[in-house]
Amino acid sequence: MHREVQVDMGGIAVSNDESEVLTTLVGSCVALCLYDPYAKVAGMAHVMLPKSNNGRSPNGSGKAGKYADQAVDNLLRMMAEKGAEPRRIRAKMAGGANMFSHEGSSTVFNIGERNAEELRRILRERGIPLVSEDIGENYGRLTRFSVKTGELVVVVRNSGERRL
Amino acid sequence: MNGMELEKLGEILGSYVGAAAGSLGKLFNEGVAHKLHKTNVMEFSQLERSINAVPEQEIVAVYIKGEGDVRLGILLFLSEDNAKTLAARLLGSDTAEKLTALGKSAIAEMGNIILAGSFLNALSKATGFKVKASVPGLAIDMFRTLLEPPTIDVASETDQVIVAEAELTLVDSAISATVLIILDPHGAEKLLTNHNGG
Amino acid sequence: MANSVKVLVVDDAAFMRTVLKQILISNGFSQVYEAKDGAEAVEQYKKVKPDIVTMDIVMPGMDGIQATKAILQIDPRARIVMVTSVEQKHVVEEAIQLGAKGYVVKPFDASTVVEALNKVLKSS
Repeated sequence: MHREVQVDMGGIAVSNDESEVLTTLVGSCVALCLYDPYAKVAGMAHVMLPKSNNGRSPNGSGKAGKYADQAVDNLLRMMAEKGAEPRRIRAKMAGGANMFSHEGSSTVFNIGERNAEELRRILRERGIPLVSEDIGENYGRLTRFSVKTGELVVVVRNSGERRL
Repeated sequence: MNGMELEKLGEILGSYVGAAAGSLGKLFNEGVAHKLHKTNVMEFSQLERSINAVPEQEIVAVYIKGEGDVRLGILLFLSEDNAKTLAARLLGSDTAEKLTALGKSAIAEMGNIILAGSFLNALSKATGFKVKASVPGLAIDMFRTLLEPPTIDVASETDQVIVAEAELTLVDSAISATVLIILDPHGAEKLLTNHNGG
Repeated sequence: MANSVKVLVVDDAAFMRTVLKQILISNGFSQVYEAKDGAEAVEQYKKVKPDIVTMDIVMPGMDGIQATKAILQIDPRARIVMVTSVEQKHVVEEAIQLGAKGYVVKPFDASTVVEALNKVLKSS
């Protein structure tokens, strides 16, 4: 039996308790999941924005997962505190959907895409391999990230489960 | 913002919602009641808990972003059944089995007319503000995930948001829709300062 | 009884184009053309050379104000009637100053639109 740890919009959770599953619902936000498979430390951030509008994420957002770059750094720091090694960490992500469409076209409301792009860029920069992703489209996703196995399960309504 | 200011803001927003209700009534040729619930300030992640909607429940939503002298995220949502019924009436069709592309266009345009139109028209008239509306976006999905785009837009540089929740009800048909108005604290203060009876 | 007036209906909402077309056809305007955004409106204007245009404002890409400006640059005698949900003072003023000949606010009665169009057609 596992215990669910809910991650709020803009939130972060890190765990090394193998009975826990980190979980969040995402639409245009991205559930960024980092895992150290040796130390079995998992982290999940619910990322809302690539960066603040003036190009620099402001300090002092109480929400550690809100901005992409801060989220990655916060996750790495918090995971290291629980025994994770940066060199062993791998990433998975899900979300980044264009939820709203205008007359059938979803290009107008595209913050989802931009979040995913920025995260890929930052992960590349930090040398963290992105091993799988389920990004884009136009639907919400329920994500469950296992601390025990590092598996990311994505549930989409009317479409069942995907295991990343 | 203190309690008194929030209450005053609620009255102000309620008056703009009243204009939206009037328009909705014209569209459907029916009386529309409107009620604004309490206006609150909170950290954005608390939004889903404070709003009268089930997070995982599938809803039809129209999103309009307003920008200019004030930034607003306006989310109109209703059950899929109600959306089908209203779309059928707008299209003059008998059955409301499925929400077709034209039906979705009708619902989005309804949102455009009452929110990008009447709501913002009333706001502009009372404050002198220029507010440009986005084209309306339409979605059918879990409420909680549809809350993200307006939250992202309004809370991009603030963690605190002001939210007002209003209900519009077509009186004879007993069909309701919820309107969420989300603002950042700076915008809310500007509105309070500049609103002029209207 | 159909007239020979060519109308160009510009609105991003398929629903609104359908409604306006129905209203026009029921009122004798059988030659109805459509455009779904400002850029398409300009292209259609050049192609079709309509007698009158109904112009929405909130549209993706080029909006109705910009399209009105562009069309009037091509044809200073273009007859454009704004048909929009927006009634903010600065927007109405800009449309009129640019040369729109009429302004109808949604939601509208069918008769209001028809009267607005006929008024403009008669006065020129």
